[in-house]
Amino acid sequence: MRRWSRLYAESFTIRLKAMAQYRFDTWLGLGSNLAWRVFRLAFIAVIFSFVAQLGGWSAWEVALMWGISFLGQDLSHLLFAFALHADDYFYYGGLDYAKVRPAPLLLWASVELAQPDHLLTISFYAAVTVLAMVNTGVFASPLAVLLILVALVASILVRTGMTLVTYCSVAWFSRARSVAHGISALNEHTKYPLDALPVPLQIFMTALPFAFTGFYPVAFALRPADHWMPGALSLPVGVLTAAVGFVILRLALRKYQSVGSVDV
Amino acid sequence: MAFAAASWRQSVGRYSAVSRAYVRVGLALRFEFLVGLGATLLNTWILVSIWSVIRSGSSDVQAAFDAPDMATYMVVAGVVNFARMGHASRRVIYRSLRQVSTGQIAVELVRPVNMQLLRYAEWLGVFLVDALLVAVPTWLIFRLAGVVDDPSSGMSVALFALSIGLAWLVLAGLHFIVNAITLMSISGSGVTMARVAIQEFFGGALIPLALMPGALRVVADLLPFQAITSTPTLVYMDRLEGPELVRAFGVQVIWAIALFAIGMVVWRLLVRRVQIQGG
Repeated sequence: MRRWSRLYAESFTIRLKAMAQYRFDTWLGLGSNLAWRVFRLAFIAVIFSFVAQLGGWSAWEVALMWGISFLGQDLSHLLFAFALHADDYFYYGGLDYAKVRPAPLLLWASVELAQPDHLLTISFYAAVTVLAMVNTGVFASPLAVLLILVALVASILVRTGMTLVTYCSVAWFSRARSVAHGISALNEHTKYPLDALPVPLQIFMTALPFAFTGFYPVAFALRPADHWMPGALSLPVGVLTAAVGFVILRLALRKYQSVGSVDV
Repeated sequence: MAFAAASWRQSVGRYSAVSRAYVRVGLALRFEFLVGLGATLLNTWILVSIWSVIRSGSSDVQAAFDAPDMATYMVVAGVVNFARMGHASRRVIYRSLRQVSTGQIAVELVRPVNMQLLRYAEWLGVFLVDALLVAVPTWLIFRLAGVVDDPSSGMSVALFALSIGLAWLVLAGLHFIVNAITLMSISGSGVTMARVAIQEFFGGALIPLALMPGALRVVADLLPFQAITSTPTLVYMDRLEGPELVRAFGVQVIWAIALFAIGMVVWRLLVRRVQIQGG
């Protein structure tokens, strides 16, 4: 583990140095990555300029759900970057040389692919999350703080598992890329409290399981009586989703037969 | 004169072939569009539901839209939300980004074509296939579910079609400029995502501009995004009449011309500075 931490740090430093060589590109990337997140948050602010509550949840409670869900997503992308690029490896034949390296694929590929840009976006989501925790009174209760930390872990696990499942499915079904993109198009809606959606959409978001990346675990931390069952199950669901993701990855690696370069 | 006409016909044939190719590829990839249709239906359904909840708790929203109008606005805005990253648009955008990151852009630059017209032709193909396989079916499904109202008359349909055509010109101009800017970047995906978020936010796809808070409304009015989503949606709903309608069409025309001109200048400036990264 220490070896991997060192490799990760070294690779990250090299990437930071490379970024410093492309200043315009770096500032463009950082600015635009931050901008689209700010505008997504601004949408929540506009909604709450009309209503005090959405589905029974206040602006800061919704901001906390949003923060945990996307902090989990970006931490997953930073730590397990391979998951997000797995389809490229399977599709373009990148695993031809990746598989022969004397190291676990998920780790070394994630080391190679980790984007320093994520540090900025993670800081942004972390700031929103902490601010929301202050304004929802989470810090008044050590148990609530603990449950928010558990919510974050659950979010990372669910995100990593979902990403692995969708992007590694390319090994069997090349068009799974489209499904993955279709699912990611719905990602933005994890910011809405499920209570504001009709029952069929609640079931859909629970089954997918986007609702476990923010809504259920945060609802459990803020109001344990509401949604206690799915809220309490958030961490087990996260572990299960991640486990399924890793199993799919292993099966996909076994299935891989080198497809070579395919132009899309 | 005859030579000019022949040359013009040749150019139109060349660029329309590009559009046709994109439409053919789109029609061949029906599964991808089925997924895109599903995602658009869910996105639109979620936004209709959320705005229904907001409307029920806000007298300001109730004053601006009655319940059927609110649902119609969100569905039509969802249908004409050209910011969405559907299969066809993703294909064009990421192909362009890949050309920059792999250095293939060098080959593109030596082709005997006008790059701006080529990109417009590509976006016409994307637009047509998205309209045929995603936008129209989405509208039809919500129409059959009784969520969206029909246009009030044949004239409304004609004005809506005109507004959509102008929206496409604005959209293509915007895409070309964003695409040109990514030439200066080794990874333009952040710029693309920012464009999507800003276009949806200020275009009226997420929030009707009539409900946009003061300062944000002023900013939205100064930007081209309103001409892409909000204007066609309001035209569909007959919310623009007389001088307001003329003004809205005028704004679309001005943005279409302005973005074409800006695109031409930006391209000429940036292409001189382009560095082929390769590999």
